[in-house]
Amino acid sequence: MPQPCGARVTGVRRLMELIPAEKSPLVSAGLASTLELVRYKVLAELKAEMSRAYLGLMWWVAEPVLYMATFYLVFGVLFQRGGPGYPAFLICGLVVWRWIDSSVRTGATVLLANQALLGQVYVPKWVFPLSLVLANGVKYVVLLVLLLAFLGLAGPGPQWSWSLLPVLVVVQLLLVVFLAGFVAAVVPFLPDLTIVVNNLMTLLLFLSGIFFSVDTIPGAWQRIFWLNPVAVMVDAYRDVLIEGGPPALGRLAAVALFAVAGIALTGWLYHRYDRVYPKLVV
Amino acid sequence: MSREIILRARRLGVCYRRGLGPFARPLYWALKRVSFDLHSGETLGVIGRNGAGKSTLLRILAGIIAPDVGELLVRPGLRRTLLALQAGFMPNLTGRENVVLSGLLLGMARRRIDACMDQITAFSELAEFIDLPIKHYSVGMRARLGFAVALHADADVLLIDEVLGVGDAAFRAKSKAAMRDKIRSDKAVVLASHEPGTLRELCDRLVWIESGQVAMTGPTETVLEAYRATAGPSGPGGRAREVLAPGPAADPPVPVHTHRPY
Repeated sequence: MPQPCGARVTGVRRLMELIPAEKSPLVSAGLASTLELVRYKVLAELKAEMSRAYLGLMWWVAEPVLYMATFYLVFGVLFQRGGPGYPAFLICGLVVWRWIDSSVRTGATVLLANQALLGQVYVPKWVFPLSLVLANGVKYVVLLVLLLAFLGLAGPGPQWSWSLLPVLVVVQLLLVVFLAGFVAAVVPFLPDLTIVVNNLMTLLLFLSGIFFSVDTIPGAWQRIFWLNPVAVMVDAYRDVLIEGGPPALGRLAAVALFAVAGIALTGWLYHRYDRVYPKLVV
Repeated sequence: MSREIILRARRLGVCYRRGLGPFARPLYWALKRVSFDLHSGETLGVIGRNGAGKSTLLRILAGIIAPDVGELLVRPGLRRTLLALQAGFMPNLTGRENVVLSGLLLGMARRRIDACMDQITAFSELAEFIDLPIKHYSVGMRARLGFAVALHADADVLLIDEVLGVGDAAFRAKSKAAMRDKIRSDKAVVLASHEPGTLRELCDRLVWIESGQVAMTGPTETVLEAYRATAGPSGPGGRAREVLAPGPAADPPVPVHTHRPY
């Protein structure tokens, strides 16, 4: 509908009420509705995964068991490492490692995998790595319960120190959110990094004391060894679950701080590039 | 009718690129200097050939991407939604679960989705299949469900890219009618299309985009006439023409620089 020329004046007056679009939130209910999306995505991903294979839920358990059996066969049986406590030692390390490993590897490609969706609707991009980490976290808790059952029956038995487990899970959650969120934010800018991330994760698997105890490496290297947050996490779980004592609190607190600082940096990346990711032509 | 300006595009430009910072490699400018106003309650049509930049423009308006140059101004709190069909659909989830997921992605509140569930199911005519995983649906069934969700999306500004109807002949007619009703309501709508008929029927004004630039803004008929003149049997003109319509241009007329090496 054409307007008389005088309308221009109204337009100018009205313009004073307009603000830059980036300062006006898009999701009406704000954070609450975004968190509802995360919650629903976590449930949806878990359910989709369950119904993908015929055996569904069973694979949550069977697949990690096969994975751990492989490592046990190589390190426990063929290399004859450790003593009678080695299976518990190894499995504890591998269970802790799985949540980190699966989340970081999938996290590296999570935005690329959702590229089409990113171009269709506005979604805060951190929704994707976060729901991935949480869905993996649910599977991790299932594994953790099985690990406790295993340690209770075949290992040293239930201990009071196990009550510290929630603290470890929270610190690990922070660490995984940071690592997976960070690689998810960076990889879309240079998709070739996926290969680098995958190889770094393999390196990390061997450097995090999952197959060996820190006592077996030379003293000078131990200081460097403890700079690896994954190694600290693995060690803390073993202290609590197998040794029956408290974890090294100083190192654990350092990991938590490191993760929180990392999450802050990653959050800035998501804020800065939120509306750039859908524009990237990969 | 009050004609308050609720959204103003000022010289928007978008460049698609690979990588960022030291890795950045610009590919092409999909939009260059696009300016127009959107008034409350109006249906604004965006016409242009394939690849002219219509979809890119809607993505900026929806807040999906940020312009590289220029500025988008909106009334504070203005909710804008691009009606994306089947957004986020996952094959292993049931129809009902996909309705929730897609609705959340379209910016609907969970309460509203639950309240609309029966309507959405009824509209899609999939009541007996709604609790089946959609991997068992046919392509047409999935399209119907996707459309039904998008139709119930709520926003102050609806952004619609081409699709007005889906499915077989009967459902297509029904979905087109429903979408038309929604467009004709007092919501502001931006409708991108290359179909003159649709635009003539639904739009108050048109913005004509050619090679990423505004070729013309004005009343529907005026712009359509000029558009048809270039898109004759000999094929559309490759260059944007400098046509200025007597429409309510908010900015001074935007000069068209086809030579500008963006």
